Formats: sequence, structure tokens, C-alpha cells
Amino acid sequence: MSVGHVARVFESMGISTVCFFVKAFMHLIDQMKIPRAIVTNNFVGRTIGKPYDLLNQTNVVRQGIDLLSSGTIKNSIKII
Amino acid sequence: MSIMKNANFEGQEFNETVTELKNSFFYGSRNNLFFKYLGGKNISENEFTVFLEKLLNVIVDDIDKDEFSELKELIFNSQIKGYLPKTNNDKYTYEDTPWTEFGKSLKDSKLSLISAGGVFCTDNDPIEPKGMTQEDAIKKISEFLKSPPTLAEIPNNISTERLSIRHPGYDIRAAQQDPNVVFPYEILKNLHKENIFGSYTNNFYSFVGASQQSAIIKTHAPKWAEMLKSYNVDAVLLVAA
Repeated sequence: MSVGHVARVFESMGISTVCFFVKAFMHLIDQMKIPRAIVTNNFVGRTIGKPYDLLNQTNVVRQGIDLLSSGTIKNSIKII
Repeated sequence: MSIMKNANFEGQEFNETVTELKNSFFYGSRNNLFFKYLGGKNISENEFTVFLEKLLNVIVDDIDKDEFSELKELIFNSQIKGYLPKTNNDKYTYEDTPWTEFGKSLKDSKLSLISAGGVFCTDNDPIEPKGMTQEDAIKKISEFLKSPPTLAEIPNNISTERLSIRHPGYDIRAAQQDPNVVFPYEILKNLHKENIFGSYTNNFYSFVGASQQSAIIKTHAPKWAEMLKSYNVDAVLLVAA
């Protein structure tokens, strides 16, 4: 929830954001109307991926950065 | 619910209900931050016992297969159910979406990173009292939730060995092994080397997400935004933990 609040404040003050959530927190994305979000199929506390899983971690972060430019409408959500 | 007998405490026998067993996983005698949702209010006693029964059966199935995908799926799905509120939290339900269009090309953009995972520089602990352990933090979960967040500044060239993680709300074991699981600072820098985006801030940031939400909204996030704007940041990656 805290990340959602930070995103909402940042966006209202002129900074674009992309949030990373695990699927267990997906309900917050709709509830808090998160501007842009990547949802990963990982366990809580492993948002970006498993330890040392460089390939999948990189894919998650890359897709998040891509979403900044490709997510041109509010509530752009990508589930990966 | 039925009563179980337990004789683990120096031979003294005591009775424990299923409710007490279930609740003990949520900041109780068997606190387990990976499985704490089992003790939370979103999982009923019946769902708890059904889960335990399924868990034992799936463990055996997966042992026989020597492959643990079914176990992981069972736990993953139970975690989703365990974190899904049965009633909507009206307090932080919003109708509008604040929005700043990302107008620049990525190659001209400056990015930063903020994680809610409680990461900090070992030699620059932002939270008092100094030396607070993960166990101490777990005992103080109620205090954390009532306290404003403290932003840890983490130099972008820091080595993993100099990072610590402390957070009373989630299982930090994976992040202790590899902080990138909640604080992907090395991944971000690798992508910069691939020329995916223009630049990044001298510092990255983290705080404990289990903080007073009203303080985040009213005071701290606005201050953080002003700070990042003074560094000409175009966009921020925000990682929930």
C-alpha cells in the first residue's frame, strides 16, 4: 500500500512512476488506481524474482522501464 | 474447534486450539513472515486446516516426483488468497488516478529507484535505535505501523556486502541473499549499460513500507518528490515488498 501512495503523490507532483507488485497484492492496483504497474508471479518478498535469477530479474525491470514509454493511458498494468 | 495436546515445554502438557495454532503464525509464538497470512483474518479456520491437509499430501506427491512445482503452486495460490481482503478497505480506495505523462524518450531520461523493502547501508542505519535487528523490528511491528517512514539513501555504487535488510512485515531471507529481489539496483545499472535509458541518480532509496500511511501521503512522499525533482528525475521505479 505504501508504494501505491508514493506513486500517487509522485504522479500528482510531476514525476512518472512504475510500481512493481507481486500477484498477492494485485487487488491494491485497482483499489488505489495505480498509474502504471508490473505484476509478477513471485512470492511476497521476492517481487523482482528469485535470488540471483539475473535473467528473470532483468526481464521484470526491463518491462517496467518499457511500460514508462508504452503505458500511455492511466492504469497501465502488465502482468508477467 | 478441537483441542490439541502439546508437551514440548519442559514436559508440561498444555492444550491448544486450532484457532490458537493458526493465530500463532501471525506475530505469535510461531511467527513466520512467509506464512503469516495463514494466521490472518482472511483465512478461516476451516481454510487453514484444509491447507495443512493439502500441504502434507502435496509434499508427498512432490517428493515422489522429486519436483516441487505443485507445492509452489499450492503455496503461491494460498498466499494470494491470504492477502486478498474479504472486505474492501474503503479508507484507501480511490476513484481517480494521478498521472504524469512520460513525455521524454527513455534515452534522454533520468531514473531513480525506491524500494519499500527496508534496505539500508549497513554503516548508515537510518532508524533508531542503532543496531535494531530483524527480530527486534518484528516485535515492534505496531510501532512501525504508527511511525513515519525513514528514507535510506543508498549510493548507486554500493556493494551488496554493505547492504542490510530489516523489515517487520515480510520474510527477508531472499533479500538477504540477493537484495535485487526487492531493490533491483544492479539490474537497473546493467540496463543502463545497455543504453536502455539515459542516466540514474547518485543515490537509490528504500524505506520500510510498514509505516504510517498518512505520514507517507501528507508529508514524506511530497518531500521525496521535491528532492527527486531537484535532481531532474523523470521517472521512479517503485518496488513493493
